[in-house]
Amino acid sequence: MSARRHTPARTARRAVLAIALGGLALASVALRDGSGLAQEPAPVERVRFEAVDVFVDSGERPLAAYQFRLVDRSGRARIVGVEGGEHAAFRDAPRHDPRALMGGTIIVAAFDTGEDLPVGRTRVARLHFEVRGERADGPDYHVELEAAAASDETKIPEARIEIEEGGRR
Amino acid sequence: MARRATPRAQRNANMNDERDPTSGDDSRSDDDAEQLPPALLGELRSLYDVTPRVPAAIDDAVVAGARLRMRRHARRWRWFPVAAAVVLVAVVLAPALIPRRELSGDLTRDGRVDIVDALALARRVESGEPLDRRWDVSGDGAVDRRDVDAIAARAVSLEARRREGGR
Repeated sequence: MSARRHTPARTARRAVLAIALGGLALASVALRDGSGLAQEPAPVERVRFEAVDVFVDSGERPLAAYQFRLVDRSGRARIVGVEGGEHAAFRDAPRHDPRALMGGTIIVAAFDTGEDLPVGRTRVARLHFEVRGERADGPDYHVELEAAAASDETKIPEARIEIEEGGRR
Repeated sequence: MARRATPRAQRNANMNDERDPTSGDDSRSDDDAEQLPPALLGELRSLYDVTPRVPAAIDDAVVAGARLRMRRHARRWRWFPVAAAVVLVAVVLAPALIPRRELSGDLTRDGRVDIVDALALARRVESGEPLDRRWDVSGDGAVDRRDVDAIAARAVSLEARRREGGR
């Protein structure tokens, strides 16, 4: 009958094996109970989408070009889309910097060299936003009309701009 | 039996006499001066109470040197007010005198590139009128619709706006 020798290497291997078996046992118990290693799901932030209509009132002069800058000062809204306006002259998607998408600041502009131009108040663009947070903590939109011109390239200083925040889209 | 004073006690007694506050040390020198014989006093005064006399030649040389130095100093700074006035006038008038660098794409010459410049160039391109080479914003050697697009892109560029200082 031969006696087994307990070398340090053999002892270490046994210890590693024991720890691995113990870990497996703990993991199986935790998974069966549905607790322990499984993490609590993170609270989901409410996200909604809303549209903002932008109107330019050029008074009695036909509007051939406009440019505005819109900013969300709350930091909750991100621009996800830019759409044209209601009049045929501005129905195509207006010019904007693609890098403005997924941000809170955008400069939008469009012009038309045709003769059929809108007069008075007209919706020139619709912007789509992704808004995070509760409805009570809504975005803080600010819009500034940077340019409005008639077809003879003269500025329309009396032109005004305003926005209407739409509902959920 | 009377005790005899030791030498040390005698010395201390003499020192106490010298420190006696009633002896009037401050007034003693004046009193001494008055007690001196007038002849000696006059000789002492003539010996120590003398105003040094500088020869006129040395005095004139010092004054001449000082005047020369002051003249040089004044000559060095004589043009300073004129130079300061010239610099001031240049700073004030420079913006008006130096022709303003024309902003590429600013057809309306209002100091900024916006969508109205794109409208202006688009109308000229469509009309077929001769086009100014300066309106070749895209730099491809031709003035056409691509330059209109370049001006419009510049007008809405957030990066360009940041470079202009957030105007």
